[in-house]
Amino acid sequence: MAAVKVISLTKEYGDGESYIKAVDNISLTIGKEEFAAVVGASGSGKTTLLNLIGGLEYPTHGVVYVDGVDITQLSAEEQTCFRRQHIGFIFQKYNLIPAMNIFENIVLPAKLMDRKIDKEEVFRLAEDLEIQDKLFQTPDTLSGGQQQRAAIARAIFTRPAILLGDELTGNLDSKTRVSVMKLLKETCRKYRQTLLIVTHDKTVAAMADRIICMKDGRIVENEKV
Amino acid sequence: MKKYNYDRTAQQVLLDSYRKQNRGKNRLLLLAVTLTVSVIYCILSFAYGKIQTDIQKNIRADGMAVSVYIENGTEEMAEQLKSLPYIAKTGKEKFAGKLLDQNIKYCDCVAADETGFQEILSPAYTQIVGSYPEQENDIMLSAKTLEYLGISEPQIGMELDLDFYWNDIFHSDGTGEQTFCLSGYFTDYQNSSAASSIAFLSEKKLTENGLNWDSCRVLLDTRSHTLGGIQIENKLKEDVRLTEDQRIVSTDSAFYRAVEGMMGSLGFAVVFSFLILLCMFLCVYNILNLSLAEDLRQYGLLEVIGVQQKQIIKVMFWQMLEIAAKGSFTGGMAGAFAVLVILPLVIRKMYLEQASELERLSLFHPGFLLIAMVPTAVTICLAVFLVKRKISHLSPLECLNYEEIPLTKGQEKAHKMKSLISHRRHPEIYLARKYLFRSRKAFFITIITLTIGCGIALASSVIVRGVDIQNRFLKEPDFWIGITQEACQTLMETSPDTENMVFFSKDLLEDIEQTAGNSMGNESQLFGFYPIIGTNGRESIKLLNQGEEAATVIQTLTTVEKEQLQSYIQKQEQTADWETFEYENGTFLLHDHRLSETVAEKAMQQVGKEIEVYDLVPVGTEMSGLIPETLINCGYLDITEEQFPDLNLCWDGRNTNILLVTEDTYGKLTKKLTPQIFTVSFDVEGKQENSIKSQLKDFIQKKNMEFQAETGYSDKLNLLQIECKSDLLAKEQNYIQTSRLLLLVISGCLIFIGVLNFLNVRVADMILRKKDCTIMRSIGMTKKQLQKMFLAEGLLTWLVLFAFLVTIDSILIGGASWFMKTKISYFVFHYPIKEMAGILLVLLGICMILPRFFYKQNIERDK
Repeated sequence: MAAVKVISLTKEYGDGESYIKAVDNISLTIGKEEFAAVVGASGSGKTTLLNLIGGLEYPTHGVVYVDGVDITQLSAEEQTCFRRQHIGFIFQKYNLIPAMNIFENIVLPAKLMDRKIDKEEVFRLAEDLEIQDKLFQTPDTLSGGQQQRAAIARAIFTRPAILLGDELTGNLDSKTRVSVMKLLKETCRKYRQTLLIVTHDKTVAAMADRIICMKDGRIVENEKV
Repeated sequence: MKKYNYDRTAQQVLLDSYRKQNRGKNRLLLLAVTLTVSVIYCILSFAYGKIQTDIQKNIRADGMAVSVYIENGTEEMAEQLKSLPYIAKTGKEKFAGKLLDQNIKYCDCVAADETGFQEILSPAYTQIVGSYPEQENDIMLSAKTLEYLGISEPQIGMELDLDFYWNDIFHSDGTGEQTFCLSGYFTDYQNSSAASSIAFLSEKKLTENGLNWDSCRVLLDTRSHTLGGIQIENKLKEDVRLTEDQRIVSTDSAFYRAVEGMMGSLGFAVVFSFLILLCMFLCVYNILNLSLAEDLRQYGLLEVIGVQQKQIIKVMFWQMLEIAAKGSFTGGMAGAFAVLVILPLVIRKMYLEQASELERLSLFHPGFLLIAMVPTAVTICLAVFLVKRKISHLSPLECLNYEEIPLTKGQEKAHKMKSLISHRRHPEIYLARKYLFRSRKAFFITIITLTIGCGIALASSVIVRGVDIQNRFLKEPDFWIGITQEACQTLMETSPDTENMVFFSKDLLEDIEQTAGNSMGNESQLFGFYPIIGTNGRESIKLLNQGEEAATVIQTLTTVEKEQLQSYIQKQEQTADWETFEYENGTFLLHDHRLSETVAEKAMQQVGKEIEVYDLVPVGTEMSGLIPETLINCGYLDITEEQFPDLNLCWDGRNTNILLVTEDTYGKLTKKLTPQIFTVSFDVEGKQENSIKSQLKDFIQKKNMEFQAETGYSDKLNLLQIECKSDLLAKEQNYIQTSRLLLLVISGCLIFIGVLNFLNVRVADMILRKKDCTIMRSIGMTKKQLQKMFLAEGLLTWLVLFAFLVTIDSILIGGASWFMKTKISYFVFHYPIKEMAGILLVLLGICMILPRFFYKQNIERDK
């Protein structure tokens, strides 16, 4: 079974002069434990595709299967619960909660699922992502790379089947970018997770198992590296 | 790290993080809640305290805790009445005898049963020492009587030689000078201006001398105090069969009158509380709204990582609940302190002159705290609900990317041309306006909050100045000299020695005029007669409660007063024969609510009947040989009615039957009746007021002593009394100052909430613009231009505030003044120009200094 399966997916916004077709009849399959990168120019529909797969938006047409579940049939509340258990998000701006320390940021989604927290597991994950000594610091005391690794830890900790990253290295310098991506790739492999990222960066895209190239809302290239 | 609690729930973690993140915001919210709870709690407690004090005052003035009784009742009747469902208890009181001093009554002797004294009469007294009389020669005296007898240090059990007589003149057992034993004493407050008072006798004294409870007053305590006097009277009329001489006297209860009297103040308390809540709501809403964008982004993020909306809302509510609970607690503590420590002092100070003892007054009622907390919690929930609604309408992604909405396109287009011109000439003003109205809602909420706060402060100032006791006395003369009610009563009862006796002689008037000297002005006299009512006419007087005991006088009224009375009669549709009153020898019978509903029908039948009046004649004069003057009863008018015109009546019309006549009728009556002066009033030059006052007081004292020496009356019976406006003003100063302080505190709180909101919005806005300022500097805006922009913003804000204050607040002030005018006849409206100018100047200062301060603190320092 594929980790993600998208069939005839279309997303339209507005009407009249402001009408936009952000995603235009896309069909796509991403296998389990696969690392895929979506590339393309600004406005090509990459982020919209990611949001649709993550259940943050409803498509105009088409269906999205994530871990075998058609998420387009779920209500907003059900989608939130589904997201909590099956999908991990990593953002360009890290989006850590400033008043919580890194430990709290990492374990929050798991706590919300009423899971018992194994702190050793948090320490192990932090060690994997090289932020073990930053766990009890607040996000504002960390560098960009460290914050992004903390955001990755948060996304991975609940063991979601799929990780979605939107320009996750966009705010990082080239050196950090590569190191963060390496760590992410290794961790995903270790925890057997599927990784789908959207990026402008060719170096980052080159690290993926598959590159999906989009233009004007359509997939123009879909190749295994 | 070791101390870290790993077992906290997600909700606790989120709550803690919010607490840390929103520390500043929460402090502001806490302050707003604390202020609101404490102010509302104080207002409610004060209103309650005032009602309690007024109830106590009414009970003391009535001389009993009930307002319904049956005159000439019997012991059986008292027993039977207990079975009525709306009667809680009954008591008996019998005006059995009197104490005399040189044939002048100075004390009524009353016998009461246990319920009557303990539960109905004693609540009207304070400082009760000793016990109710049990033995035949026991007596319980009032402090006033003890003072009259010259006893300054009374001892229980002390022997007193008193001259006692039964009211039933045919009963002489146990009368005359005898030794009584003082079983107790008390302080009473009924008829405080009168010299006579009340004493209690034992039931044994009655029975041992062959008397019983027949013809007693059956005192009725009703179960509900919320029913009006008329309603109780009607119920009793249905349930009790009365004999010819029995009469139901039912007035509104002390509670009913206190609440009714409070309605004006209560209305104000409700309006004030509502405005405080509105201010708090706007403040809370604004505080939440200001951080809305940031909060929404956070909620969006939480939704993306899997937090359900209901979990977010739950956390949000917990957070607000925590603030509401903390705020209510601190507000409650502050309020309790004010209520327990400050308010009793305030109330005591306000009522110092009216009720000297307030020992039973309890202001602290935790229930009011709950009442103050509930609307506060509801207001907070409402403000949270409005934010929650916004979250519900946005998707997680919209929340995550939420930015404040700029001006709409339509608005942009409308201002395009003007903006362009303005931009070219004054870019700073253009930018200032643009920034100021960027978040219009927040800006105007702030302005409205501040306008309400200032409006209440200004309205309070207008009210305080308008109801200033000085206004009440504005039309009053500087000095007022008149015959005392006791002297009049005594002289009329004992009859003069000579014919055509004048109590207030022309010589006396000349002496007063001489004492006042050249500075005397606006002199006016109140004229009338002291008549003897003939057989034909007594029925009209008898219908009034205690009509035969009270003195009856004939009084004239001025042309202006006549017009006022006519308009009152027309408006109130009173049953009155105006034509006879104005053009013939008609008279209105004025009374102070002494015509009960039961005799209303009989009173109607008396209208049109003749009232014969004779001049006062010496004792022993053969009346059948005298020819009376005849007046026509034109109707009964109650001077205590709310709309009754402010007529100048002798002894304010209290405990007196006044036969009101026109000047023409008065002229006709002078042919047979001796004209009398009741009072003389006049003004003097301000500078000489004090010296004239002391001279007049000395003169009156001298005249009273002369009167006492000439007539042989006790040294307590004064002929004349003097009232000075300056003394009355001084007496009321405490009340004025304390009311002023209370209103000042309330309006101060409101202005504080307004200013807090204003500062919050302005500072938050400026902090958000720090980045914008850096950009503007980088694209070439000079330091001077930046400063100018901030100043222009301040000025624009002030101009908007100016417009709101001058328009909305003027309407608010006008409304409050109109309301006060309908409630208080002496209310004088003054537009608060000075206060308005003061507030506007302070606001101008804040508006101009704040941006400058911000610029100095943030922009220049960052550079």
